[in-house]
Amino acid sequence: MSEIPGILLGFVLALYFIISIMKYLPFAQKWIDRTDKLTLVPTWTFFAPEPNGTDFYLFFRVFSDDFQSPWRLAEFGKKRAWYSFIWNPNRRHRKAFFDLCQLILTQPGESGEEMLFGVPYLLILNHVNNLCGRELGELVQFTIARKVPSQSDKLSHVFISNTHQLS
Amino acid sequence: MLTTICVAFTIVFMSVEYLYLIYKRRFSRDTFFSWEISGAGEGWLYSGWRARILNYIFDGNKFTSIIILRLLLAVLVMIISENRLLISGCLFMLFFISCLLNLRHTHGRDGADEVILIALLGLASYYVIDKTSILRWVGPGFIVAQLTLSYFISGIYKLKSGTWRNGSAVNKVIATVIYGKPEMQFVLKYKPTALFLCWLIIIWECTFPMLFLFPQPVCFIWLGLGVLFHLSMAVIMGLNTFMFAFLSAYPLFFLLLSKIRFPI
Repeated sequence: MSEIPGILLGFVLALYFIISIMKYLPFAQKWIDRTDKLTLVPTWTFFAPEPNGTDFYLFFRVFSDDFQSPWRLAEFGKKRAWYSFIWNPNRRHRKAFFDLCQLILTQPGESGEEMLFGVPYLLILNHVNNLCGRELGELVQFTIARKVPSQSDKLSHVFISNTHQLS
Repeated sequence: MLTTICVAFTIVFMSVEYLYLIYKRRFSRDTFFSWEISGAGEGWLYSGWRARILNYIFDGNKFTSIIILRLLLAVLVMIISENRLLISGCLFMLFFISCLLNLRHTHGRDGADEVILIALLGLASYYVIDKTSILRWVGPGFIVAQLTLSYFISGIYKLKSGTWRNGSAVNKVIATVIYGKPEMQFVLKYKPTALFLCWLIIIWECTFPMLFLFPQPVCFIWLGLGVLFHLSMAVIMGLNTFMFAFLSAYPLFFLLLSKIRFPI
């Protein structure tokens, strides 16, 4: 009787581990990604196969019939401090923006209309809307720019949003 | 167990980081982490009574309360030493809260969150099973197995990558602002250095599962390289909680190596 909890937990953990391995087998990958809504199965491919060599930047502008602001860069906190090996809470915020950009740029087969209602697009629009605050103008637009610093200092604009009513 | 205290400390630290972000209004409704928008996503979990429950839990102040609860549970785990069932209960609750955080936002999560989830389940299993049963080592074994898998999978995928094999991977990452330290690029301008670093990481990660076969000084050197690896990532890439999460499980490796390979 006293061994039953151990046997049950052992079975659950063994199954969990097997599923964690199966995630890297082609026939099981899509099924696991579709089913794992709680993101319990870990992704162990850190910086592989392609390491991240990209920085994303968010620009936004407001405009109306007779006014247009220049493109402005959205900041995500100060540059990483020397003590960031211990204290770096903005890491999560920057990673969130990076993840959202990746999702917008890599969503397969989404038409323009579907994109507008997608969560990543709406989250960035929401953030930009907040940045505008009480800016003059009625419409807002954002663009995502990308730089691969190891190759070039040049920023290339990879996505531009529709124009949206400021709220 | 030392790992339990280290994992609990990591959770305390991560909770403080969350509270800092909440204080800075990063989790308010007009940011990247807006639940009003994330919670409107597609899927079974975001509809019906499930959505009502999640909306209730992730309402502004209640979300802050969940993080505070997480912090307090982790502190409790650090200070309780005798009551194994209470520790187990706290660890299972922390695991449940981690699952809730996975629902709250999928963007902005990283390897530290995944390792902590694994560690919580493994440790909770260890404490819930009777002390006299050998099955209580299934939990720690699970943690060690998952971490070994993480290094191995990461190594294999790097080995398959031309960017890693030709030595340009580390330079690519170091050059970025998000995870790099552009001012350190000069170190990698000398190509053999970059190539050496890439291949050191690939070989170390791919051979990590052989840790339990290596003779005594080598296996501990391999773990030492792991400590150096995570420390470097924290200093260069700012991955502080990644370091805390992985290294909190390292005492288990030492423990299992001493019990299995080199029993005293």
